[in-house]
Amino acid sequence: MQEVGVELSLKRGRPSRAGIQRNWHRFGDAGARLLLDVQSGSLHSIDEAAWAVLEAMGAGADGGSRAGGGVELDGGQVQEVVRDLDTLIDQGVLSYPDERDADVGELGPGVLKAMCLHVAHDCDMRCGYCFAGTGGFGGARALMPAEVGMAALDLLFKASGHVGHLEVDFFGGEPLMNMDAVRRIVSHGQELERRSGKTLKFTLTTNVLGLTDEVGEFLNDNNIAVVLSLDGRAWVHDAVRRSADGGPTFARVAANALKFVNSRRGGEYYVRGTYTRRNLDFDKDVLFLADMGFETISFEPVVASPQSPYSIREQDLSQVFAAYDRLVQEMANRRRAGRGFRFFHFDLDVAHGPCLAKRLMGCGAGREYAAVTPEGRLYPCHQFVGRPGFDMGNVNDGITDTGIGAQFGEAHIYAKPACAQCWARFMCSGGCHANAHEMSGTLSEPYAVGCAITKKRLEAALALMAL
Amino acid sequence: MNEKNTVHVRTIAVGNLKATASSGGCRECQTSCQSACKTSCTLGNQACKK
Repeated sequence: MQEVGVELSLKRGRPSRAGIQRNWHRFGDAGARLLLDVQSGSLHSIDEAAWAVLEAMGAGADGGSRAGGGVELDGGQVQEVVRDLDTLIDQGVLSYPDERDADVGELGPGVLKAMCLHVAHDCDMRCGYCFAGTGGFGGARALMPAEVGMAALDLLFKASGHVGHLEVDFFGGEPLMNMDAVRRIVSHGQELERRSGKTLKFTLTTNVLGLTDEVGEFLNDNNIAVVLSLDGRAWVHDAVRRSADGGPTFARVAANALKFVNSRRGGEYYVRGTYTRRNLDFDKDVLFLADMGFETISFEPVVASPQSPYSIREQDLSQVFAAYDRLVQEMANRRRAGRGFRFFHFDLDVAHGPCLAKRLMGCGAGREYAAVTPEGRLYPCHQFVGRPGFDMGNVNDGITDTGIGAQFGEAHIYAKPACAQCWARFMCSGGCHANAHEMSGTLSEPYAVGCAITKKRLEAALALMAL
Repeated sequence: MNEKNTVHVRTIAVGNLKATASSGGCRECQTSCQSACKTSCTLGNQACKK
């Protein structure tokens, strides 16, 4: 037996502790021992010996480090692990930890290519956790005239330059409250597609309450992707998602959603739920939805101020993490049994993901993506609508305050100290700007609880690939 | 790809991230919040359009 740490030098030398922490993410999840090569995105399964050697290697450059957990290895095993690591580095599926991140060059200015149209600043529900002020976003309730939405599309097609794939989401409030405008805007978008040769993808995000057969037929006929809000178990849903008159909505929403999904004929949809500190066992809600027959599901932590009774707090994280662990195990079981379903945040494909340039910049808010109010004002994203200091312009004149977009351009992952050193930087890409601004008052300091959840969710997704 | 050559480490998935440093930036891919999230940015699960 020998002390781990004696022969921990790779062919290129012994990596620094900082390099290992930043670029080799070693973690255990759902019974799997894994190593993520952050710079390439490659994922490796490691055995107990490799875990111990990597742990010792990352413990410091002072030599003499023992593997944690009292694991002792003989010299032969240490040599084997070191040789494995060198082999993987030679094969290009593992990066030497002290390498610099690949250089993508100048990122250049943003190109507007996606819009979120707030076609209704009004809603027929009154959800307790609504970040949109139950529809009005802190202002007057209003519906977007079709002409405003059409002008927004004109701006999008013009401003998008060489980009051929454009996206528009109908959002609110509740967009089904303004279907006449939605129909006219879709028709106008289809005409712009024909004229320009570009592709415009529509999405509609709805609370499902008013999703009639007629509306469903329109969404299907026009190939509009749909996000259906449903929080899982009836008591969970009804505790927060109430109708305008205060009544429960689960029964109607669930029936409408199921009927609509069954009519989709392969059209894209997600059933999207929100979890709060009142259902930290939200894995049960995800599975409940899967058991109802939904095959594409997304579940997100609530966006709420720390004072809100719904917000996820640091002391809740262990329960949140346990829920993701249980979900991974059950999804793996169901996949093996031929009953798998898709969970949005676990849909990682490390071989065909977005390019490095995109990953540095994150969601594109304020640069490639803008939200449009019913009055035609432009904001960096749907969550910034109504926040003072973020009005970027209007649909007729375009983006007149370019300084706001520049602020977002400067909030890339290398400009945020917490992100620049984080192993998750290329998968999370700096997190949600709106959450950061809401919690810390700045774009440059990510929301810590959000970071913790994102990292756990990524580990869970990677573990599911390994199971 | 490396199962025959390594003993203690097995590659599960090969990432392409470094290769995209020079080939990326076309902006044709999906905008992350235009999907099922709307509240949390995660780019790892987006697809490249190329």
